[in-house]
Amino acid sequence: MTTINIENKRLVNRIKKGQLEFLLQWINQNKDKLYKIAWSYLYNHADIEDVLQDTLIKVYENIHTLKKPNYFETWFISILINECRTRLRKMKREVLKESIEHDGYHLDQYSFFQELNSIDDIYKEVIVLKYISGYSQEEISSILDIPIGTVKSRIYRGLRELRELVKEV
Amino acid sequence: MDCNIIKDKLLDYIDGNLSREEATDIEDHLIHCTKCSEEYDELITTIEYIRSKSNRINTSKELSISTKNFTKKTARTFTRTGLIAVVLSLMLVATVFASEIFDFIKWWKRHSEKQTSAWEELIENGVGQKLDISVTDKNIRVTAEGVIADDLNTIILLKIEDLEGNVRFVPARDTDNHAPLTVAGNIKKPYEEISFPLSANYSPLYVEDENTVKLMIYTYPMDKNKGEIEIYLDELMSFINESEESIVKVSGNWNMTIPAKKLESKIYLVDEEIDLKGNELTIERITIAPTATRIHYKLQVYNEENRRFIDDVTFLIKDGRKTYARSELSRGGAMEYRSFGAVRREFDIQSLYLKEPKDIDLIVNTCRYTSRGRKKYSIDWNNLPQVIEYGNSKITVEDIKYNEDSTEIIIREDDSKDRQYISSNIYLKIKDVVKEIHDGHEYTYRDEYLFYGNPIEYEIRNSKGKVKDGENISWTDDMHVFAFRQKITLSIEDFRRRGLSVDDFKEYLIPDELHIEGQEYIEFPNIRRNIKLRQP
Repeated sequence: MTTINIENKRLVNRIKKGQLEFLLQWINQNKDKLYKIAWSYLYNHADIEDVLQDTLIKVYENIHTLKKPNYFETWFISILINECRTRLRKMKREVLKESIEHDGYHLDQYSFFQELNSIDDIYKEVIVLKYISGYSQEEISSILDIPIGTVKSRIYRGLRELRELVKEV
Repeated sequence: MDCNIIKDKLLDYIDGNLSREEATDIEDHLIHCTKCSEEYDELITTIEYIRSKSNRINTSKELSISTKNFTKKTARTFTRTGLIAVVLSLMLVATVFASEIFDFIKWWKRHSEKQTSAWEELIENGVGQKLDISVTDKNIRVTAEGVIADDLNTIILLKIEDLEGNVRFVPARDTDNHAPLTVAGNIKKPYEEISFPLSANYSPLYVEDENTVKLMIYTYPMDKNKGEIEIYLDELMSFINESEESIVKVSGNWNMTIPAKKLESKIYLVDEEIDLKGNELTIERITIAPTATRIHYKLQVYNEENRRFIDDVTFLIKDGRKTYARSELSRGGAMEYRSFGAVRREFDIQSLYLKEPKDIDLIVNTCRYTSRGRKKYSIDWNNLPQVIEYGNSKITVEDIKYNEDSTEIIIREDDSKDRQYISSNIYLKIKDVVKEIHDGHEYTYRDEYLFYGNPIEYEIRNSKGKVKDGENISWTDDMHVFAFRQKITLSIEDFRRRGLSVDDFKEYLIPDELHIEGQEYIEFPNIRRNIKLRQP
């Protein structure tokens, strides 16, 4: 555990010094998790890329406001989610569909994306963080800034709603 | 056990978060209660379903997020004041040496004049508020002299006086966990759901008195029409120093709260379409506010036909004989970045607030763009010079020098007379394999590190040609670095700094393929449009 703390501190210091290649490296190391979170909102690669780029800028601009380096990851994710939400708001549904067809992605993947997005956002978020990106309830509570009890009840509710969908399939 | 209690604990049970006894209790219950065991099975099925589906999300596509373009872009999109602030803050880091102090002061004075006079013109015309609120601590007096708040910016003028000595004080540098100057109260960052504490941008302005500095603070607009701004200042340092060691730092409490009123701006809807050689530029709105005239525009960044990617567009406004350029009083508008499609951006020009014009002549001043296209070259490093072609240009890999712990490669840009581009994006790539062990599992990551060329021989040019050396350069939007030669350095020190994993860096000092990814251009479209300003 201590090694991780030191790593975070070093990373944060490096970002503060503007050595952004380390942040890029960190993003690449955590690409799987980060990508899946962004995917659950945006589905297509180009937008995911853009959102990660925007997040990188936000993280760099605001890194000095992060008081506890240990929370770097959850802090990063909260910014990422915020960026995803912002982008989604700006995007029109048509545009989303268009790029999906254009992308030629596997249909199976798209139906999973639709299932995830057919449940309410507040439930989708916790499900994605928990079962797709593997964060603990405590971490999710810190990322979304909601009490642990709420995290738990939202996961439960989200799973039940998804279960209904899966059953229909 | 009650079924409801079980349900409450099922998720933790699945996660393995429960104590042994609790887990056993649940297991016992599940054996006997069909309802709960069905519930459990369904939860597990759903979780498995999500996991298996999500594992098939293709995350292996290469992410092209760049720190290079990002730093370049921000540097470019700084307002001129922003740029000065950056230069000044570099000065803070570098410290001004005794021999340079004279030149520095001359330069500083000239830059300060523009901001000071723009500020004074507004205040003298009754725009904004004059203030006289001071706090004294440690024999240093900080006075808020005024504030101009509008829909685009909030600008505060502070005066910092050393009452016992002759030191010009400015806020100390930000450190890892401390920003000496922050603002709060009715200042809010727009379009943000999460709010961050706001550290403020500022530029120190020159004042004749050797014990005084004025500080122009630029921050976000107020969230109310009338309110209060809290200024927190708790550490100062001497601005001009002979060496790093002679820096004087003083901690104290110069916090204050100032009243402020937000001035209304005028918003004009415009719908002017401009064709930038195939890339569509639409002027959507113009806001005339005290601190700046903001051009809101939409720009198609990428043009598939000519493979041009526009990085940046700047504007001027002509009114009679007078030309208005980038605003000195604005922290700059929003910039949206995308790698394709259209972006919405804002550009801030000097204020026309006092003029109340009925129409303006808007000029597209500069357009910076990058050509797209990645090319790889196998270079016979033992047999230089070697000429490579990128598009129509001939680029020469001139020389390679192997040192003990670094390798230097010299590349000459195309030297034909009619060369259009200003510099090529040239780099070497190192693929680093990292093995890490977490919880007994070994993970392998492949990281790519890019080493870009930096211009070593170049000219600073503007729209008219070469800018004379030694002149007191005042940066304008048309200025750019025209590169003749670039150098790529691979060094062990850099590998270490960037955290490459292997112990033996030597093999990385032998370069592999050379990459060129786009060339940069600047154009001066000089497109002029007369725009009628009608309020909606």
